[in-house]
Amino acid sequence: MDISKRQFLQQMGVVTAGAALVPLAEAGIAFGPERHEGSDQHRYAMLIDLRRCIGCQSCTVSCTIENQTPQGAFRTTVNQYQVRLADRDDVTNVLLPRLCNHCDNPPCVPVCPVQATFQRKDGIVVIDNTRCVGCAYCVQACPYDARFINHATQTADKCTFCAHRLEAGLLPACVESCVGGARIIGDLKDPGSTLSRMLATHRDDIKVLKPENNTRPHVFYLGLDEAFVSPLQGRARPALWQEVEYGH
Amino acid sequence: MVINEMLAQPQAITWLPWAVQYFFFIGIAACAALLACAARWLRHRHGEQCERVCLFIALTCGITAPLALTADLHQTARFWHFYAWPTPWSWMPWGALFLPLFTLLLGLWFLLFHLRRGDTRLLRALALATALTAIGLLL
Repeated sequence: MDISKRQFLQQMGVVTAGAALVPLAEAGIAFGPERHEGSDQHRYAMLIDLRRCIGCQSCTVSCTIENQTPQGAFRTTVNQYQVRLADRDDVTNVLLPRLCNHCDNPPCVPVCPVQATFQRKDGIVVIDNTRCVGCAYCVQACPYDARFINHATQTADKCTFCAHRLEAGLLPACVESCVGGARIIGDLKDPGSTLSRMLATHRDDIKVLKPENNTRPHVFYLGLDEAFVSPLQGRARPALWQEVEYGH
Repeated sequence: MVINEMLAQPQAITWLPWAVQYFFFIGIAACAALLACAARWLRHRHGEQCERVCLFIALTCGITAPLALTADLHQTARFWHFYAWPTPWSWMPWGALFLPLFTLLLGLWFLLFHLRRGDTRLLRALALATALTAIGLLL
């Protein structure tokens, strides 16, 4: 192959520029948030079987006790709706347990200005509250309203799937206390887990909240009506929520 | 289908009025800096007077705005975390770089302008750099 000196020098330039970037890559300089901590042997997710939920709020209470959230702030709650069809008089209750969806594409993680919130290798999204500056950017970014500012620590707070309990071989507090057994946590990477088997059995009936946001949520719902998949804004009569007076 | 919310927790307001104040003051400061830059570069008989007024407005608002923004952090004393863990993929750390730079350049320009030090070329360069950071903040 005939190669001129000019071409040779040009190609050497490209090679040199490329080689200059090698130490940058080796140094582990990231250009996007990376997953760290936890084990990549697991991918935790939750299935909420709405056919079994009775709206007793024991998950709300046990989570609050386990994680010591301040009064009036919850990592998980069960929304309750009353639904009446247009041509019918009878009403029915719809229950919708809400928590962090531990999305595979979490919008809360890349916005954090100090990398205090990150996703573990097992998919759990957590916050390092010794680093968090409390800017609430993540609270605004979450489409599921799953985050809040904890006024006891003045940092962002959210559900962690009770990672501290999972590591000790225990179930999350909400799963442990669910009277109907509606909350099922498991490992998606284990095809034999109850979660994986139930997801496979009910594949066509499984729904997630706001799929249009492409966040790839990992809290799955079984028995959720299509009407509740997307936000109810403007479609539901608002609730009468009474705040408990508390100082912070 | 009629849906009544029986129990649904409303989300608390997390971005406090401080954030609104920041946007108000930084908007004024950045626009005033851009006007002052235009006054420096365009030769007009009222140019110097315009530059003086705009610089005064830009500097006062440029000092107030970051104070309002830090007050919006729930952990104000941890502002240094922005510099300790640089995160280029989030917009906020870029603001944390541009904001002090903008105020610093503005202060320098203001000082040189009033002390009548520095030649026109230096002041012009300073005006351009400040205008660029102002555009960065507005974006």
